[in-house]
Amino acid sequence: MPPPWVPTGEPPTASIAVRVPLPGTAIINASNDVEYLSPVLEGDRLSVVEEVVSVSPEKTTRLGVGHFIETLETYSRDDGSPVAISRNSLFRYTPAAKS
Amino acid sequence: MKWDEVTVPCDLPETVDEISYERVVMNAGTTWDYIPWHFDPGYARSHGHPTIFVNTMHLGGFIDRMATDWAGPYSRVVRRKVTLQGSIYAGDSMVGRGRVIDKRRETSGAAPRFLVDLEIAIYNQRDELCCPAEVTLDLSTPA
Repeated sequence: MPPPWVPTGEPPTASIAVRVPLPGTAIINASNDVEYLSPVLEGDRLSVVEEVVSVSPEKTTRLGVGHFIETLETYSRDDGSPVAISRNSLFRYTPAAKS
Repeated sequence: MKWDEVTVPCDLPETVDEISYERVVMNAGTTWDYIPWHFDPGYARSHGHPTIFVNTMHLGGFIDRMATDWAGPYSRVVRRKVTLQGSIYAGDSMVGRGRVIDKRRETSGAAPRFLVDLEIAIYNQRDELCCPAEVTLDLSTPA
């Protein structure tokens, strides 16, 4: 998750899955698969690269109509060595009208 | 727990956590997950849920706790896959059940790793499956 507040006063940044230009006002997570490649140690400084891997065709679920967005986050040390890889699938949708 | 001592298959102790409103909000807050599902009952109800529910990282933490409580302080989670099939709501019980499904020696990296694969599943108090998970522990560090 991006930080909701940063000390330098910059506005918060939404998750990349929310910034993809798609319809849908609600999000809910579908799955997450993370590998911890090596322990994070005191003194490490980490950075992360977020990528959108795929966007599904429009799907209709019991929650509403939307798209599954698959993202990949790669966490690395300053020397470029990766410490963790997280693959996530999130459903971004317009809630179904109440019956 | 040492890798040599692990029996396959083997059940993990069942673990139960009572999920209060405070627990839902605290875990969402500490993982920076300020989506209204996790703190605003009105928003949750307006989207078809009975109330707020725990976030993905709360489920992941519970699963890791089960795995490492069983395997001990020298174990390390090296992979966790969770699938969100249902929600654990404030007021629910979170019931974790798990078992060892494999142990293997991985030699593809720079040093061999002694791994144990677990299946852990989270149910609610009605025995409805909410979150099946796969976990791999590294037990290479000698105790």
